[in-house]
Amino acid sequence: MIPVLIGTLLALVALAFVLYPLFSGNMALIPQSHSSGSDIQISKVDALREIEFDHATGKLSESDYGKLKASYTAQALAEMREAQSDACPACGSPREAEALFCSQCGIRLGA
Amino acid sequence: MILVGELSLWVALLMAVWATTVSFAGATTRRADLIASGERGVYAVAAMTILAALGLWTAIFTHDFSIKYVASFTSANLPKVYLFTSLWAGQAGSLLFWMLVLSVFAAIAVFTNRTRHRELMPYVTGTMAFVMVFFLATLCLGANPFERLDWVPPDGRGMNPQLQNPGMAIHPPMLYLGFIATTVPFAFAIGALFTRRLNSEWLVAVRRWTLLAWFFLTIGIVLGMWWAYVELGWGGYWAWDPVENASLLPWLTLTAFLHSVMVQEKRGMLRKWNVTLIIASFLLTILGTFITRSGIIASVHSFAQSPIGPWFVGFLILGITVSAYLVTTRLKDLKSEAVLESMVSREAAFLYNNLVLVGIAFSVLWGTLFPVISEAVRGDRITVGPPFFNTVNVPLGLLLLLLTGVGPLIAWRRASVSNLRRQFTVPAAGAVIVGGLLVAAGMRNGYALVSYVLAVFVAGTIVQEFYKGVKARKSMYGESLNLALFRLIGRNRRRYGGYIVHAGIVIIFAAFAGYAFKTEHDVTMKAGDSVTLTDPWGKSWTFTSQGISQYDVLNREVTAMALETRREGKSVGIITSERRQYFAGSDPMSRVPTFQPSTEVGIHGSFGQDVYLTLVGVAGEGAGEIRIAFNPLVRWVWLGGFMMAIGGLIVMWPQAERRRRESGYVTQLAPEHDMVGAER
Repeated sequence: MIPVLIGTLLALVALAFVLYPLFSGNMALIPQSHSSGSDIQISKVDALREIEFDHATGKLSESDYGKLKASYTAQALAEMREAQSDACPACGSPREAEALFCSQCGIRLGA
Repeated sequence: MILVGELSLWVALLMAVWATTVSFAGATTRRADLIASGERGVYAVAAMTILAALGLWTAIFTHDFSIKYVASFTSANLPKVYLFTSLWAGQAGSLLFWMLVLSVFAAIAVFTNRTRHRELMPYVTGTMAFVMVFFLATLCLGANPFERLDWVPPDGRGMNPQLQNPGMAIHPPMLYLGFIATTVPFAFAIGALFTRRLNSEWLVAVRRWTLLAWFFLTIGIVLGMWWAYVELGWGGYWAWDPVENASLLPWLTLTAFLHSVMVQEKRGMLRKWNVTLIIASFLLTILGTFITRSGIIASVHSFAQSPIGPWFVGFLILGITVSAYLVTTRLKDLKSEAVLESMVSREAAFLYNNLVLVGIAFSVLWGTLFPVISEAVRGDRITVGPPFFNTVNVPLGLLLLLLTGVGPLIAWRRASVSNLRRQFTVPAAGAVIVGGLLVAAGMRNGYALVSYVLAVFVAGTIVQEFYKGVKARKSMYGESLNLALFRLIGRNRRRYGGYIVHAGIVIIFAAFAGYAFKTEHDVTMKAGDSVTLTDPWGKSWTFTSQGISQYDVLNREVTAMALETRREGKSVGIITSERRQYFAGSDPMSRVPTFQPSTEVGIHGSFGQDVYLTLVGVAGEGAGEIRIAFNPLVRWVWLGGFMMAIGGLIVMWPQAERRRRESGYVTQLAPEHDMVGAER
């Protein structure tokens, strides 16, 4: 008799725990997010930092270094400008979508 | 508590089935409530499995011999520490232990990703839950650790003496942690394939898990070698035993992955390859478990055998089929972003390294399965021994060692001649000089010579990397020597931690090469007899027998032979080797011997060599037959393994984002009007 009771109790507690979300009335769908297609995940600033170090330790030839540095610098600047357009101009914290005020410092954000 | 444990196993199975079902349902319908319920299911499985393990431990510690597992693998006189480890000393218990670790890992993976990778996670949760369904079903239906006997024996059979060793307390858990940690990356790979989100997202999510798996496998393998060396009395640490091979296989594929993933991150190449390596690593752990458990191939691990083999074969076939289907239907999404520009480049070096690692894995797999294959094809079982494995793998291993030195030094995309010359002159010159010296000193063993030359070359490249890195930091940021070295490693843990792992590999290869010079002598000695032998370093050793003694310790009867040992005439102490006969019961008149007698080797270790004594038997009239071996450089194997683990830790250590940002470059963008000026 006792085994049956313990087993039922264990099963009931576990069931209540896992079924709770289904009865909490939250029928929302998870938002669809798109993954960017590229694998290359190091930022251009990091890439720049890396080739500078590779050059200093003699792994990159002078001509390769010049070419890569020019191209990465341009890309890094573009990347940073893009990143900054999403930041609060006063405190630099990230700006939430469609926010009218910065959630960190409270300054009014332009449209 | 025991009853709670038994029942919670069944509840865990129910929860795992539920978690699998709702997670995949949630993934296809995108319903948040189903997904949340699936994730809670994983937590519930973990809680129930912990209860089950506590239940079995309770049965073991209270000596409840009505439970078959407790009666089969423990006894009333077993020391406490081995009562604790007996959870993984037998089949059903070790499966429960496996499940325990798996459920905790799965819960951690779900918890740490509760706000991240929301598209992938339902599939990841579902896949992990499905793997747990398999293990729980095997436990409940195939090998139940709570199975009861019809009668209660007065005492248990006790634990296999070979398992009564401190190494056995940590070696299996470490290997299990490594094996089981591959489940999480596998689940992410399956999730990425299902969702076709095959860019770097899943790679980021699994980075730490793959490192963790690799780290624990490395420690587990080295500890296993140590256990074999001190406990099995083979006289060696690696014998290409099927189960050793089974632990090596996923280590090889994971090592390959840890290298090739860098190519995908940097250049967007090798997508198919990486996803395949992760799937292969997981399936190889299942294959390894199957080999250990099924008894299909004779091995030193035969103590863990049982008839659950078919369960694993079924699971393996299912795993291969689903993975193969997913990969082949997503080939378009797995296309590379770039092509290989030159065969002399970092990415090409990584590719060669991968080919060699996978080549070794294939040869080991082939050799391990050969007895089964030959039996199926020709009807008779042919076992391939160490000669096969050594013939194939020693050259491949040396090639790998060479690549360990070459890879890190050449540039991405395309290496120029001047780049090669600048990087390789010093290490290559050092290697040639050392090779010349060794030949002059009379070394004629070809493989050993090549090993040492390559080891010096690779060690040279590593030292050069640290030297150049420190120098660059000193000149770029004006740091002191110590600070530059500290920051060099701290700010680029993956690269420099990796070099430390490589240094460990170099040490291990050098130690392996030293083993080629091992010498062995069988002698029979009475009390007072002496024998003088010369070791591989040319020093003379004198061993004088102190006779044989017999006495009882805890749960065993010991026959010991002690040799007073002198090196070049100077005493280094007494080395003792034992034969042990374990018994059940404490009354000397009625106790019964359990298991075959086992050997406890006597070791006098130094960095040059181990003097390794094995008591082979007693010849009568107080004479003992003893094998005296000189095993060169063995201690360096453990040291190299330790270094690999330290390097692995450095690579894994979390790096604070803020510190990373500060390293080197100022990344603040000047206001627009200043920029215009600067660009001009």
